[in-house]
Amino acid sequence: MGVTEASADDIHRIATALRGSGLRALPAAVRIDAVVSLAQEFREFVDEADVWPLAESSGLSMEMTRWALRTTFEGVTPSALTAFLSDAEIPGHHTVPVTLAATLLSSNVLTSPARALLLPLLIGVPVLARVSSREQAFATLLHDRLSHGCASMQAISRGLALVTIRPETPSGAHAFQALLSEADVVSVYGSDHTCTEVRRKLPPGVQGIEHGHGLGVGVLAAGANTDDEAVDALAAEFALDVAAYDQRGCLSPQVLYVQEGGWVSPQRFAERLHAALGQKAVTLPRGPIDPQLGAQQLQYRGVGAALGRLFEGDGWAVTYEGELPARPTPGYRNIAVHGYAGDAALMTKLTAFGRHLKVVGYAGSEEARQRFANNLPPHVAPRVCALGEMQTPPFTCVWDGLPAWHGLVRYVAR
Amino acid sequence: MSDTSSALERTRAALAARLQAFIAEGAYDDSRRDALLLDLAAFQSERVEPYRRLCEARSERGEPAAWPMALPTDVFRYVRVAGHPASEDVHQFRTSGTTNGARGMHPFRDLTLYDAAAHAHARRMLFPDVPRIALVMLAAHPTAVPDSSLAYMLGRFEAWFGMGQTTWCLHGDSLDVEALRAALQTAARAGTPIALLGTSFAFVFAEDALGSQHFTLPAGSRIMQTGGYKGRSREIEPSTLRQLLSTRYAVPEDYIVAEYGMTELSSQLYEASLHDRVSGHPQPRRHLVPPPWVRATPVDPDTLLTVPPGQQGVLRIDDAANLDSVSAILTSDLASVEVTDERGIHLHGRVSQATARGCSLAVEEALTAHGRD
Repeated sequence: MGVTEASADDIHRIATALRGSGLRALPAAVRIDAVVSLAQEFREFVDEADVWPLAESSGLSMEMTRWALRTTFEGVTPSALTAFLSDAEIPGHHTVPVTLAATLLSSNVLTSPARALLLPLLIGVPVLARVSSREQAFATLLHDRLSHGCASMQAISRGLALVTIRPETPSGAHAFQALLSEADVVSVYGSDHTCTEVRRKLPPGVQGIEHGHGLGVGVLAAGANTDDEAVDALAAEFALDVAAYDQRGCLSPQVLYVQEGGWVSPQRFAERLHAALGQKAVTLPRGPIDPQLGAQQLQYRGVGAALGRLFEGDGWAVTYEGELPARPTPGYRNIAVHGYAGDAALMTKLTAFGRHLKVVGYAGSEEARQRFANNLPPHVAPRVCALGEMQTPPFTCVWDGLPAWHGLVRYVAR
Repeated sequence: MSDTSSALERTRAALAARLQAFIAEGAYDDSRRDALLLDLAAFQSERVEPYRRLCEARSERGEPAAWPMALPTDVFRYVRVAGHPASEDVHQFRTSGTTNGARGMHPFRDLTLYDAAAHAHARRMLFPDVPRIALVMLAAHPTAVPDSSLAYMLGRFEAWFGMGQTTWCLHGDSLDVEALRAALQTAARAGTPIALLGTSFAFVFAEDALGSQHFTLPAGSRIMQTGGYKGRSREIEPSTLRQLLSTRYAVPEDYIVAEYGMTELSSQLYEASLHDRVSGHPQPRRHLVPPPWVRATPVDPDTLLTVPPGQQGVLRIDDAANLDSVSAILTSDLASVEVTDERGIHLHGRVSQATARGCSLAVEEALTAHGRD
């Protein structure tokens, strides 16, 4: 079922209805129960008839679609959500949800609407979401499941509305401005260009929260590259980071930096990663690739072969490019391994990614990750996690350096 | 000179001679072409380092070797693609500038083959009916942009096909409208046909600059337009541009021909319409025709095998005139063929770097599509 294209009048009417939906007055326990129930439904969402439309619209394989659903909603438990709501509180204050959030969704990752839509609802903030014209299936399904779910799900569904808007048309531009004007806070998921455009159009007083383009980077320091067993395990973990969502998301790794001097050389690790990606291709196959992306992939791989070494399979490729500067990958499981000599050289490389660096998968212990995070250069504030966890952040985790309730609550002193 | 290198030199000379003969004869012979391409690839895979690496990587994967490996055009932006040292270069062509400064470079040790190839196919497709013709260039002069392969080619056209004084109307990104207007009016008054040759964006500049003024160019006049817009002007669909040009200059659409060339190639493809009209073909065609020594094939991006007729694939061009670099080239363009026995291809545009790249754009240093200035 498609989402209705809204006019400015529709936006005003829908916004009014959302504000009057009673979501803010719902007890936290009801909201938590609704989100937990929906998450459980999606985690167990395995029937081909249910998964197929999502796979088809996202271009992911059935196996990858199931994996995405399962891992997105993993850890969505009553205790986790309760802790999240508690974290939003500050001593001596009431926490008051804002009256309306506008959310502009993007289309590159299948399950990205889950967090963007459900966390405001969990906090008690009604959401008026503009869905991507290219990818509506998941957001629509989420809304549909809420609307037809248990009593708590139905209760919070009244605080959610989905619309499409075509801002390139005069009436669409009017509707888009109405959407921005109605909201207390506008969350934008999309390209940097989209974020800039929205920022320019925001009415005074409306808060904008931008989730622009981003990328991930993997790091394998020599200290974690200790023996064959460790190497194979790390290769398998990083292969999952690359394979997840077919490397199309803002958390997808674009490059792996391997420190020289470990058990295996960076080039040898590239070969091991190639083998691990081959195994992932069996359990989590890549989706189909269209000719345009295929052409980009050919160019990327060819340059990799010319500059260094290319390890290529049916549906993935690893290049080893020494200490050359990183190149943009076309995604779709095409990853480059680069060597680095020491921490200073690595930090220089990371600095180049600036604010776009959203996640670093760092091989090693928690202490090692802490040390690494402490040494990160200025203007770089990624989430630092273990390899294999780059694309599976906790549902309620910090995003773009901000807690998920940022902009969604006001504080009133007792 | 070592035995190995002198043997390679002998091989090179033999390949060059075969190619020269092929170009001079000018007849389509696919088996002869394919044999030449295979021998070239074998020679180049020994001599051109990045190509050797690519062949090695692909053979490790067990790729079917019926056709030689094709080198992606992006490689020209990162490394030197040549079988000879830079000290032996007689010329270097470069792709359009990009904001991150990485421009592709195609070095030439010898321009003889380039010239022979460009002359032969332009004679066949663009000037089959006139030995010489007055030329008006909507492009920059080769002295202004010495590293532009298009400017070089047009400069050679002036020498080979030009008649009288050639008018060059583009200076940087600025169109000399008065010079253009004067050349058009002179041709119309004298009743002497002319050839207007230039880039698509320069023709759009002219459309905008000439306003309501139209010209009735004498019969036999023709237009060749080439290249993308590269953000220099508004973009116009090819069929729309053709109609606009036909109306503006009173040139029949069959005499308006698109050329397809790239810095990374030594040969060009032309739309067949003018050739077909002149040779009495009942229905002049719009497909792009390669010269006899070039194979143009849309291939599947995953398998690298030829796609069936009607299906879009990535355009692979095997250009035997690329003797000292790599003849098997993989472009970023999408193309198709309509029927199996047709030589020509239909172009479906260049892959946009922004297409569905999603978040990988973050690492993109505003790379722009490479092309030919």
